[in-house]
Amino acid sequence: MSKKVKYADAIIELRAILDKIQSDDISIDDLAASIKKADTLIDTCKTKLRGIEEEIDSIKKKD
Amino acid sequence: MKAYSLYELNEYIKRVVALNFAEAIWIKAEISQIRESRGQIYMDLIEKDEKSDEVIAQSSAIIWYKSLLFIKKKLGELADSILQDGVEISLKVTIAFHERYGLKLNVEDIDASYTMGQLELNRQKIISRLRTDGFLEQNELLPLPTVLQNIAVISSRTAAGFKDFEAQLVENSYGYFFKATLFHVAVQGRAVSKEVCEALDQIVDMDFDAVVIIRGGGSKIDLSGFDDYNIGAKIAKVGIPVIAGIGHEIDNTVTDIVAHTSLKTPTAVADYLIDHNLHYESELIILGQEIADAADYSLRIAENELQQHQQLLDILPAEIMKSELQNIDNIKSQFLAIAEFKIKNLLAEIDSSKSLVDSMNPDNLLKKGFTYILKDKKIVSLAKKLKSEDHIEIVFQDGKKKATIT
Repeated sequence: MSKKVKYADAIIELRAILDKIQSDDISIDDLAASIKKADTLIDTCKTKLRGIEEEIDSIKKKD
Repeated sequence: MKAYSLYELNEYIKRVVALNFAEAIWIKAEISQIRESRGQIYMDLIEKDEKSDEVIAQSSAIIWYKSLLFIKKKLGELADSILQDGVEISLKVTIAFHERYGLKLNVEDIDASYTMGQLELNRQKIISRLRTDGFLEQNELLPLPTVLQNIAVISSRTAAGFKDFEAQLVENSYGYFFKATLFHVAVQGRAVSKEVCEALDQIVDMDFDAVVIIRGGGSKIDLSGFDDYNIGAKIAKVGIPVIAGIGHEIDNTVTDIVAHTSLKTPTAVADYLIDHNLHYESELIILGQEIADAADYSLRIAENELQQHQQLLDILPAEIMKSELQNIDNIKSQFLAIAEFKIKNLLAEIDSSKSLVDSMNPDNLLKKGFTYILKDKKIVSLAKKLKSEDHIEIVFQDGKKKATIT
């Protein structure tokens, strides 16, 4: 269940970030943090889509 | 009382049967048990009560080698599909009674179109019942998870359809990860309903993103196991979206109809799962791009503002200097005006003082006829300071005269 929510949440969060950036009241500091957050979210989801986490987990289990 | 021997009785029955059933007749029945042995097929034919489902008639039937060859030639692949447990069948039989083996129906021909018709009829009945019970669209209304990754697969591990599906999924060109858990079931014959339902019962308590029900192509009869009310009802209640890929392009079983999504083939189901996740990733990438663009735009605006401030700052000191200099000039001219005024006043004062001083000059007084007296070179201004016999000098405007006080 948590997995499903996370994928959907990422989209919601990214939309919120986009809205925030598009509205004018964002400071440059906030902007940098927001972009970083968006990048992390996208990377996490892309990694998850390819199951790289699961692979690492299964390798760990074998050890 | 004359008693007949059993043989006599059976021999009599044999003659009665032969007399009354001289020619082959068409009958309809359901195949209950069937086995092939040495090129011949032995089966039980039954008839069930429509309402109670109880068996109300039963007979053994044989397809002899020669008839079987004829039937297989006539029906092709369909023959194998029809000659199975649970199939409704219309067959042409001759009736024979054997003194030892009893009544036997010898099958000469099979009418496949009857079976197909029965299947379709049955299918329609099930659909209408599912519709009445509100099960037809229940699974379809379930929201599909954002990403489909943890998949329950209901299929047969030996089925070609499952292998196609698995290969397609594992070798997806995007590198997406799928966890496909197989629930092995019979995908043909009577066991389909029971085994698929049992699998769905297991799945209902597990955490899957979707359930996939797949089976490769086959005849309509082969797929008819999926035309089942119980499977339909279970799918409606399983609470997880079911994606079905049963048979070929044209097939549309009850399972397909009740499923959330029905696709043509197992391979198409795999493609669907991959596309679903691709769609998600595309959304992710597009959002990322939009965020980058928006951020870029924000930055450019901020940069622009900065530039404007910079330009303003460049202009500002000169402006301030100019206005300060103006101030200084103003103050200077005011100051000069005041100074000038004060100097004028001073000069005027000096002038008036000079005339006063001039008027006090002793030389000027002497010219007016005044004189003064010196005693021992000092001015004497009082008479009592002079005694008799004092020698004095009287100063005139043109010189001095000595005198003595008497």
